[in-house]
Parts: sequence; structure tokens; C-alpha cells
Amino acid sequence: MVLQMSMDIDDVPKTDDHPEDFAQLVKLLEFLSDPIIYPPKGKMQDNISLEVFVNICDHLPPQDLLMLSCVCKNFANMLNADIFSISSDIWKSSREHFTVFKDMDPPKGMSQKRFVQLLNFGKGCEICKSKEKKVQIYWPAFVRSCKDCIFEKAKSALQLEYEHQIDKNIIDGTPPLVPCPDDGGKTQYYWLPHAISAQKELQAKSESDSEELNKENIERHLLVTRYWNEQVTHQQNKVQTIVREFYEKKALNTSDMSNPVIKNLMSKITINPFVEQDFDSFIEELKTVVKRDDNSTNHTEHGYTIMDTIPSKDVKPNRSQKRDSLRTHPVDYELPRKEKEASVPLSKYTFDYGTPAIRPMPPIISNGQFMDTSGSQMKTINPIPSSQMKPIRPNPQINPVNAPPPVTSFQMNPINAPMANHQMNQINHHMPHIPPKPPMPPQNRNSQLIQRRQDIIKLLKNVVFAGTPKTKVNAPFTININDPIFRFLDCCESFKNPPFFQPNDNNKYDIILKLKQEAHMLNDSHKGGIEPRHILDVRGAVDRQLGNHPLFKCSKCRSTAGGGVVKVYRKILTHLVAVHGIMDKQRQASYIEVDPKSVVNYIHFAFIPEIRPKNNIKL
Amino acid sequence: MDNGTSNSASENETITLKSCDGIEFHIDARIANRYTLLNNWNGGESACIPNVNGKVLEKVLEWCEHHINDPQLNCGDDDSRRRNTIIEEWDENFLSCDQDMLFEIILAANYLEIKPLLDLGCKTVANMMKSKSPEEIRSAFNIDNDYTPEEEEQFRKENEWAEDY
Repeated sequence: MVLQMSMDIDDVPKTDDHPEDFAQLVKLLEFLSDPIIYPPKGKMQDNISLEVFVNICDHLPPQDLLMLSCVCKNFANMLNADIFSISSDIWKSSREHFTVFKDMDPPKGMSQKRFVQLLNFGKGCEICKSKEKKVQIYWPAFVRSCKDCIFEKAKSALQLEYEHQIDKNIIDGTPPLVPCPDDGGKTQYYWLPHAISAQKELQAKSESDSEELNKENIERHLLVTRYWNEQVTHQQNKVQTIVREFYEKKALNTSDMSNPVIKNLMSKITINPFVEQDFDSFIEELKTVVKRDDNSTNHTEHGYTIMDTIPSKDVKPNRSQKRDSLRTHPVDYELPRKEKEASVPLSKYTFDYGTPAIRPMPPIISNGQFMDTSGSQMKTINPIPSSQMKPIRPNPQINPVNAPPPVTSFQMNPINAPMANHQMNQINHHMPHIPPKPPMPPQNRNSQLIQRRQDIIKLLKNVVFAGTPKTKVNAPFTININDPIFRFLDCCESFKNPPFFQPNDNNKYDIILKLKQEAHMLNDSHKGGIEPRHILDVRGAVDRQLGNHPLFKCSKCRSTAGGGVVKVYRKILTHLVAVHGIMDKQRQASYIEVDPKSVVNYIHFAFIPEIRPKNNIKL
Repeated sequence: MDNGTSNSASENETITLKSCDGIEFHIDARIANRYTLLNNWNGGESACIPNVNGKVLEKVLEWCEHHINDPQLNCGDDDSRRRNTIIEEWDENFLSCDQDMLFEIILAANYLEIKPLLDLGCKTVANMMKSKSPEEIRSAFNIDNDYTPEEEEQFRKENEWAEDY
């Protein structure tokens, strides 16, 4: 080094012109040439070279690296990938060597350090710091949070629109959170800060750019979704291989954890870091498998090839995240202490059972749980809701006994007022004025209102279904889905203020006839005027909050396999962009169709949430 | 060349190394052969190893001598190096010196490109840092806290170093 330095002097001929510079250079070189006598004066933090520091870091797990970066500025800088690109490798290799998250790479734009911070499951929820609750990593919000905290900033489209005044276009271009924080996975949630920043961006740009911006957002959205899907598919494939292997070597005794075959399997189990997991259940499940093994004889008959039937792009992570069934969400198993001491190689395992779409071992799943969750898959294919399905909001129709009190704060909340409210006001002046009834306690009044409206919807549904040959419903008449009643129902006075009637009454269908009349009247009086959107219009359905229900389809690829499957609105949009490359919003709308039969199934969602406290209904 | 014993240098051959403070060491030539840089300093009557004093050099050479028959690791074998978290008892005793000496040995090993010793030293330091809070690391290694309280608070939040550490 010294020799190198002295040679450098010869390489600087110009210094002759600047004697003071030259003197300084000589001084500097003299200083550098002086052998440093150890022990060096000063402290370790000043003397440690990057090389040595990196070497020390090589032996430290990520948590300790995080601590180290807090020790002093020098250390923090050396661990800062923006300053030393090598630091990114430190974080990465530490994660790979010391944690179970080997297969994962941080998504584009996220630093290795931040990724390590996210994966620090031991620290509990990032927001409330609770270590008791189950935590999960949400993308693309990039937070590790418990369910309670995530809803502080995760909002549904409606909440964004009405509570936070976010433009609808912006919501369309904002990526939804994966996994879906809501159990049912039906309502998509968006990260409030994303929406707000997008809104600001839009405001900063001129109107003509807004379309451009939306395009960008959709592309971004696609990128995130694709990244997630790739990861999930990749991991599922891996797990499938392992499970298959496990199945083949079924001469196992699961209670014996030191069994080398199990050990081997365990060490191969891949990690899905996005969900916190539970090792005990994993063991239990393995045991179940072995027990079932003895009974089930011909497991290959059930086939391992099911995954071929579902295109991988349809593998939506949130489908696999249903909390209520252990089967279908990837479960991260933390070993209880005892097991840690036992000779199990890894301290944390993940066992990703995969989505129902990729079910490796049907025999495992025979206790109804599987059916339950496959329902989430079916939901998007089969327009008829099964009774097992969880509606996104309380639906007393489906389960009147266990239904929560009809008037919840959710329903009372004006944010739930759909567009139709506005339309309703527009046409209200055509309606004869009905003096308001004597006031009653709002809670009571509303619950009764809702109950009666739900009864109406139920009847209406019966009437529509009576027209289909396979149903056993006996209604005295039928109504076509294209009837004006579906356009004006929310404006009909008899629906806004339903009269008392007994659902068991013989004349119960009279109310439908009355509504039909009213709707026809409204329809007639509105010829040429601005009409509320029909529920069969894409926009109309979305306005009535049916955007998250599987009643939309892509009209462009009806013939191709899988393309005709009924999907939710947002998925169709993604589909149009991804499969058909249609970025144009206007054109997109023309390629989306609404399935009338599905609409019938979901009309209760469309009309019941209209109910608000009386003071919100302008009469 | 994999092993010191298969070396062309005869057992009795010695070379002379001189520390920066003028102390001479006569070592087995096989040691110098293992570590190229060490070999480069050989022979010159006035040549001395700058930056390394006699006390440290003595330690380093002691280690080299003890490990003279170790199989040589491939340089690229990063993984095996890291996976091997166990420190041999002799090494542990060898490095259970005071902290200054430990760092001097590390720096000298780094300077003299004695990779296994460098790794060993770093591993020892890493073990001393494990599962410690930043404050504990500071006091263990006599490191000044050059953060302002605000900066520290920020870091505390970011890196979730909780009081329970």
C-alpha cells in the first residue's frame, strides 16, 4: 500500500503548478505512509474497515444486524445499501443463512433491509406492537400487521370514495391488498396512503393526463399481482412435491419427530413468509394424513393433476388466505419450545397447503373444511351462492337466526350510500309526497325497515326464479330481470317505506306487483330523462355495490376455456388488460357483461344497503 | 499444496519475519507458504511488516503454527465457512484475550490475508454482538453513541428494537 502511494506521486505532474497543493499532498501521503502502530488510538467504530465489518456481519442473523445498524452512524452507513451496495448482500445472505425465508426475494423497489424488518415475525404487529395476535404481511402495503390494525388504513372502495373522497378512477387504478384482510375475501381492500398519494398525483396533473396516470397505476397493479402470484405458485409447486413425496413414503410414524424421512421433509418445507403460522396444527395434520393413509387405498385415483385444470393466473392469493380453515392458507409453524429442543433442524417451518385450486392430496381433506374453502373457488365460477358462503355484509336472508342485528353501524353509515341515492333524489320530485309517519326510535325503525325490505327482496327473488324451469318456487307471476323494477326498485315508494305485510301471507306477492307498478310509472315518467342505471349495466351493478360479486364476464373470450367464467368486476378489468391488452377504459366497459342469473342471486346485496337512517333520506 | 505437509519446503527450513517494531520471528517455512503475503515479507534483512507490532505478530504466528496442518479451504467456499459456527476450544482460548488484542489480531489477519484467522476473529466478535441491544453493543465494544436522541428514537422505531431485548 505504501509503495502504491509513493508511485502515485509520480503520476501527478500538474501539482508543480500549485505548490501549496503539492505540499498538502505530500503531507497526506506521509500520513498514510506512516505505519499505524497498534493498538490504534481511537475506537473500534472508527478503525474497523468495511471488509472486516462485512466479515463480522456474515456471522450475524438479521435481527442482530438491525441492532448493529442502530449502534453508531458508521455502522449504519456500512449497512446502508444506498451507500455501499455490498450491504444489500449482507442483508440478503444473513436472511438466507439465518432465517427460514430462503426462497423469497424482496419485491422490486424494496430494500433487503426493509424486507428483513418485515419478516421479523417475532416482533409481532408493526403497528400495535402486540405479540399476542396473529400477524401477516400485507402487500403491496408492505406492513406486518395484525388484523385489527390493518383496518386502520385498509379501506374498501366504498369507504375510500365516501369517507375519504377518493376519486373512483383512482380506486380502479389502486392495487388491492393481498392477502385480503377480510375473511371472506369478497371485499377488496385498498391501502389508504396509496389512494391518497394517487389522488394527489392526479390533482397535480392535468385532466388529460389522468387517463395516462390510470394506465400507469393499472400496470403497477399488474406487476404487484403478478409478483405475488408467481411467488405463491412457485411455493405451492414446491409444497406439492413435498407432500407427494410424503404421501409416497407413507410408512411413517408421525409421532416420532426424529424419523429421518420426516426430518428430510421438514427441511424441505418451503416458507411462505406472508402469514404467521402454527406448528402444532401442522403436526396434527400430518398425523391425520397418516391415519387416513391407512384407510384410503387408491389416492392416485383422486389425482394430483388437479392443478392443471386451473390456470395459474387464476390462483389468487387471497383465496388461500381464508382464516377459518387451516387447510387453505399457508401456515407458518413456529415450534413450541419442547420441539425446538428436540432434534428438529429448523426452528420455523412453513407449510403451505396451497390454494384449493392446487390440492395435492384430496384424501386429507374430507371433513368439510375442504368443501368450505373450495367454495371460495367456486364462488367465482358458480353464480349460485351456497349457504356456506359468507356474504360481505350481514345477510339475514341466508341465515336469519344467526344474523347480526340488522342495523349495524356499517349500514347506518352514509358512506354506504351508493350512487343510486343520488339518482333517487333526482327523481324524487316525481313521487307523490307521503307524509312521514310518526317518529319512532331510529334503531328500531331501521331494523324493521331493513327486515321488511329484505322480505321484499326475498319475494322478488322467488318471483324471478319462478320463471326458471328447475326451481320449485311457486309464484303467481314472473318478472323478467330486465323489468324496470330492477332499475327503479330503490326509488319506489313501497320499497323505501315498505308497508307491513306477512311473508307467509297468501297475498304476499301483492307487494311485488305494487312495486312493479310503481317502477313502471317511474320508468314512464323518465323517458328521455336521466335514468338510474340498470342493474344489468356494468356500471349499474357496480354502483349498486355488486362490483365484488361474481356476476361479470368477459364478452371477448367467451369461447375459450375459462374465459367465460363469471368473475368479479375488478378481475375482469385485470383480465382485459392482461389477456386482451385493452387499456382503454371506455373499451373495457364494453367488453364486460353482467350475468342476469347471478344478479338475481345477489340482488339482496344491491338493494338492502340502501337503507340509511331517516335523516339521510331526503323525502 | 493442499496441505502444509506436502509442501516442497523441508521441515527444518525457517524464514525470518520482522515486526514493525523490529522484533524478529523465525518461523517454519511451511507457514509462510500457506499464506502468500507472509511469504512476501520473508528474507529481507531489513524488511519488516509494517502495521503489525511484535506482540500481535507473535499471536498471529502462534495461531498459524497451531493450524499448520489444517486442510486449506477453497477461497470460494463461503458457505462452509459460515455454516461452521462452532469455534474450536483452542481457538476460543486463543482469542479470549482482551478486546484490543482481538481487534489487532483481526486487523493483522486482514492485513496479512490470513483468511481463516480473520474469519475466526470476526466470528468471535459476531458472537459477542449476538442478541444484544445497541446500547449493550456500545458498552461491550466501547463505541460512542453519535446519534442524537431524535435519531436514536427514529432508529428504535424503524428497527423495532424493543426494551425486551
